[in-house]
Amino acid sequence: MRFGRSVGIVFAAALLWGGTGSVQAAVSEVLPPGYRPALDTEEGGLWALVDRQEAGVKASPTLVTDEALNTYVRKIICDLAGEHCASLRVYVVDDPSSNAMAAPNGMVIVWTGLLLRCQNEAELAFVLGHEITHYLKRHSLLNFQKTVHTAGTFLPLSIATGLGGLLQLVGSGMLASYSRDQEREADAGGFDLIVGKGYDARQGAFFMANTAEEEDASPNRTKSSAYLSSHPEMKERLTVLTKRADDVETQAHASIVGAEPYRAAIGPHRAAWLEEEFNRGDYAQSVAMITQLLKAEPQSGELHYYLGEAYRRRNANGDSANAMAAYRAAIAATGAPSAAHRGLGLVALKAGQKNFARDEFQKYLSLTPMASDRTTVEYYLATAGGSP
Amino acid sequence: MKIRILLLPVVCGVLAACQSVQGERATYVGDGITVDPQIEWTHAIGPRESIPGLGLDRLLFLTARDTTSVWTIDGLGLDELLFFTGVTAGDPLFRSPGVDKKDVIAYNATMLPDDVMEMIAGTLGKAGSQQLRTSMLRPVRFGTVTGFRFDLAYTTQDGLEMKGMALFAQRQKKLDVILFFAASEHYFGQYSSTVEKIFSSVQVPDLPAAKPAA
Repeated sequence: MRFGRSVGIVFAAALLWGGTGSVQAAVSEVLPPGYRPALDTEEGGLWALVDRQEAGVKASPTLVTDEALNTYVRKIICDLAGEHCASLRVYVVDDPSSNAMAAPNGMVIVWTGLLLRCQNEAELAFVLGHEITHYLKRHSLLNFQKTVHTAGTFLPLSIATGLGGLLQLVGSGMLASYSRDQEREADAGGFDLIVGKGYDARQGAFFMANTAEEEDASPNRTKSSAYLSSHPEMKERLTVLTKRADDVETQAHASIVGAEPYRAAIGPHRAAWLEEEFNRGDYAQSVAMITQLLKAEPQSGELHYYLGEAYRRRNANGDSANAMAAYRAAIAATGAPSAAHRGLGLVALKAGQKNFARDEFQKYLSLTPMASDRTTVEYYLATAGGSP
Repeated sequence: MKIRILLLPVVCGVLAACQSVQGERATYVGDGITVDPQIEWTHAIGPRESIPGLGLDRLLFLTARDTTSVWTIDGLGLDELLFFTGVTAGDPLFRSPGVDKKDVIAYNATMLPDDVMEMIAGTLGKAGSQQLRTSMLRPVRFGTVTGFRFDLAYTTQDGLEMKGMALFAQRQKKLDVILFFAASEHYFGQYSSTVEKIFSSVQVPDLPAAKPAA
């Protein structure tokens, strides 16, 4: 799956098992529930490799251990997967990339950057349904076989376990991205799964449109994923999903969006995820993404504050005014952190508006007397000609 | 951790060919700055040096800049003391292999201390650092000028938890950064007090006297 900027991950193994097992001639059929391949098959070898990676993922310090969040995501995936639920294990990984993946052995990894970008449960369900389809249709195995038997690629013997190992696999040259047909098949599968569970049929297309818009916010940046170079395909996928949603809307349908339960689930984590988002260093995309989130939550002081942060950090023409407007909107809304005053002070100080900067820094310190950056703000105050 | 172990012989081989930085004497690190190393460090990368073709670690960058130094005691990836001196407007702090220059945040002489901290964090994030957290930005002395310190923590792509501390100053529209990070287990605690002394030992040349008005 390639939903975001980061490289989508597809598992592939190589000739470690080559010659020791038979190549399955037909693997396109849907996996039966509880399926596990025999170890002396090529598929069994692939599963063994991924099992080893999964053991590392379980021990990764980047794993999000919050039980409530894990339970929420697990419930969505289990509801979608039905009788395959017991075969799927979901791991939420603390990483700002917008990504999700399903490994051939049933390991499903969800990046926090994806959770940050989804606006409701239906959007996340579509992405998870898409990944479940990759798993059920054995797309990874098909790519593995294609890579090994047509390219004869060898797997490095020093592959680490865990997420680092996964990235090694990606970088080993054995990476095979899902084909366009597989992505279409996964889209269709994800769509069918969410409609079957009564979710709003349009949310998948909404999520993909937002993703494309965010990608387009940095047109001059290096294209880091094949996803970016295949926008015509993305447009086609969007068209297909929208057409199918139109068709479904003519029928009786539950149309669950699930915005409130979704916000309740991710709410305790969102501020931390937004802070991490900035460490990607692509502020134009951050501006686009947070602006999208604000359309659904216009009264969120938290989102207005982080939009101000994104503008301040981007610092392009007009961003001082944009940042100030966003910080002011945050203060006027609910749930804004006191740091909105600090942000206003920083922008004003750079703009030479010393009196205004001084006032805002003083408000920040009065609201946050134990601020960890108090001495730095006092330095700014002195620079602006004031005192705490 | 396994990958680190596999890399160690290679790294040690590289380090064996590098020179050592002796303690108890001022050592020049670029842009007019000297520090007292306190103890003996292996000088992994020095001014006007590069390590073409190595690129084994996220910070073994290939750079043409002549004011970048990397010191280590136990090996790159375990503990690293990095000096980026004389960074000018438009330049990134460093660039990792595979990351295009335009994808890295560039320095701007109008940056406030918060901006510089965010630039450093964003650069490390581009280099693959995960769960990166910065904290405790505070003014300190940088030789005879005002500089800033902050703490940081992150996880490497291999799952190694790291802690670090950064010292920087902006002088004459240029940025000087000293960055230390080490594995949080054992290595950071082992060397953090030494690095504190190094930070305190920074010496910078006096600013040239202003010319009297005609």
